[in-house]
Amino acid sequence: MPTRPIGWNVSEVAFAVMYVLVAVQALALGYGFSRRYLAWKQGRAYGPIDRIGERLRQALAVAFVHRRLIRPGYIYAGVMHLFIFYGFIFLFIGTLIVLLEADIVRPFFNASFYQGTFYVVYKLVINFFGLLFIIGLLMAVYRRYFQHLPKFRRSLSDDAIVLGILLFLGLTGFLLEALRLAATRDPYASIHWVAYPLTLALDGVDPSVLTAAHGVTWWCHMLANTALLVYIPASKLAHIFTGPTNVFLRATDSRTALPLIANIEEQEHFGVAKLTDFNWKQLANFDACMRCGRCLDFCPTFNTGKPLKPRQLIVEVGAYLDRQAGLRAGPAGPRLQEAGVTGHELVASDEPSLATVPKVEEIIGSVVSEDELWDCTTCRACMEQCPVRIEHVPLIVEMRRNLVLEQSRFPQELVMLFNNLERNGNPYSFPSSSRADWALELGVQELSQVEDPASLEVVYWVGCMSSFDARNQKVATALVKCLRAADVKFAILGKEETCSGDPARRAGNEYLYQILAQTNIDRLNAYAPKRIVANCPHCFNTLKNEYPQLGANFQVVHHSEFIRELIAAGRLKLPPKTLDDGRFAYHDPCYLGRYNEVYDAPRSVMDSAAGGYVELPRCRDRGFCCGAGGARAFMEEKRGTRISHNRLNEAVATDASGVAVGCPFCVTMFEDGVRALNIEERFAVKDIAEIVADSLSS
Amino acid sequence: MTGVGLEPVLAALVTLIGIGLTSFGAFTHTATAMAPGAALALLGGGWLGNSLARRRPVEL
Repeated sequence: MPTRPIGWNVSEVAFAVMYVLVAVQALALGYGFSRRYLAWKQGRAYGPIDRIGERLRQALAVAFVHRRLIRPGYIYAGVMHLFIFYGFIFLFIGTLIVLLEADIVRPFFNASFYQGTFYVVYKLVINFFGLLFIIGLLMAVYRRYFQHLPKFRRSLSDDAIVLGILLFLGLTGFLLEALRLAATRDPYASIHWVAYPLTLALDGVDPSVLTAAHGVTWWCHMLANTALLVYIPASKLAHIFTGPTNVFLRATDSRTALPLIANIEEQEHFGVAKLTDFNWKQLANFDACMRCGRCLDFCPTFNTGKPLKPRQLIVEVGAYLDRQAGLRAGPAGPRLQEAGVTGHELVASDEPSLATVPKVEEIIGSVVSEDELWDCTTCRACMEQCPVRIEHVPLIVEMRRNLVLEQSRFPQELVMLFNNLERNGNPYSFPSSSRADWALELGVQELSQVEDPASLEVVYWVGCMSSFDARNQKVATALVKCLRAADVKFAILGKEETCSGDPARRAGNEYLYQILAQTNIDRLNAYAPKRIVANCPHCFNTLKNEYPQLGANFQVVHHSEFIRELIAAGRLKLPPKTLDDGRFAYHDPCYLGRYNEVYDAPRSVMDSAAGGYVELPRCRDRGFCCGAGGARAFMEEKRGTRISHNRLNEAVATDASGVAVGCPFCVTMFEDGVRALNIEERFAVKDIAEIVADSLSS
Repeated sequence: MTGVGLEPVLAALVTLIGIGLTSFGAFTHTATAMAPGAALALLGGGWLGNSLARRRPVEL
């Protein structure tokens, strides 16, 4: 009957030592993860953790189904991880089965299941997953060291240790099997179908040599196993536990809304300057990073050579956190002053790392540079791609809050932004009384002039860009034309409207944001609008998802959604178009797409109004920012190349004759880009409302 | 000893009992000693690691 002698060629001493090693492994895991937990506990309060079932489902889906790992663009990396993960899991289960047979079933029940059909199936399955494990690891080695991806361009010693130990364990596992099969002349050797070819190769070698080699390999395998388990809590492998934990703990509204500073008037401390200013969940974020680099793939700052690299920010703060917790992490970046650069790169082992940095009072300036913090466009490309849901943007904004509200340290350009927002209720120098001037000629009514506001179908939230910027006033005019063509009864807030507060909030000025937001909420509440239509995704997101934090409850739609509704209801009749009439590439605005998952409505409008559109290579949740978000529209882009040019070049490289957008900030960035690249003659920038209005005219 | 008191000593004792049992089982071929010994070594080791971690406060 097929089976194998458990503990063949393993001496009594070896068995005794093996269980000592088990204790050592447990001690290391217990110590390491306890130190991590104690470090997290130093953070501020977080919670409550609601919707437990949903959180659990998502954490399990990430861990076992690899839902966020295997997705378009990441098939290779996702399958690679799947192979390693399930290989590891099944080999672990296989070991438990052997222990169950040897230490419980045989001695306590005088029985055995580790034979016959069960044994055959067990061996076939374990060999399969062992092979999968090795294939996955080789795929990882190829990806890290031979694909020459920019995000892995430095040698990663932590990765080398992890992959090296895992590969060694996988290979010595099969070698052990082959040596035993060859030495014992096992008649059922062929069921070990992966190790079997090696067994055949060893045929003819003296059994005593095979036995001695088996003994040495067994010790090596066991010691490598111990090294791996001891290394887990101090390395990126900690993500085995911290990754799913982070998915479970994630902020459920982080997609759309920044955390509110409640009772802001009573606060004495704002944002994050020290590690202990983070809440404990945010501290857990830093330990969840597995350094896969997906956060970099669509990051506008990384891809245009700016200091901010989201992975590096997480890795470096995490390394500093681990160092403070008494754990030595993997590679970290050099201290800014030592490196002599702004911005970080992964470092080689001989370079200074954060593991040797003495304790600092504040992480801003020591571990994270101000340039990094101000470079972020808050586009959420990093958060969208992160398999374990690290929340980079809120972390960055928390540090901006500290710089702005506590230290008054922010880029010079923001002084003007904040002053204008305070004085004029808009980011520019225009008086608030001129906000509705663009609408005078069009005869658009302001809400204060409407006798019965309840009779209005929608309130059109114009936003600052479309109210004051000459180029974007054309977008507002086009939208008015569309609304009138569909016979929609609407009005604008006009002079009563102030900035939604988005740029202030993203720039870290939560105090100013709350003043602006409360003003708008009070004014809108006075009219109790049925629905609000916004053509600015930033306003749309703020009104829809962030004002509820201050007690508002408005029904807000983006103009692309509303136009689609009007077309679908037959209220807006557009003549049939084909792509030959003008091919526009569609650009996903971050605050519409990634923040609110409005991907289909603008595309549907493009289908109706332009006969289709050209899909850009980086689209939908993998879209590339225009560079304006996070109040970046009001700051100079001094570092690296221009983000808008990067995106425009992508659009120009298609056969499109222009780019269609659904955001006034994108319009402005691309118009500037088109002029700078000197392609105005052949490349147009249009809002989808303009495309619909053009279609109506034709 | 800090806030954890004698806890690490107790944890170490449990670990040593576990190791003792498994060693006894290995050398005398008493298979029934292995499972409880391994369980004690595992739990004791983890407990010892946890209590040692708590001995020194984490100061961020």
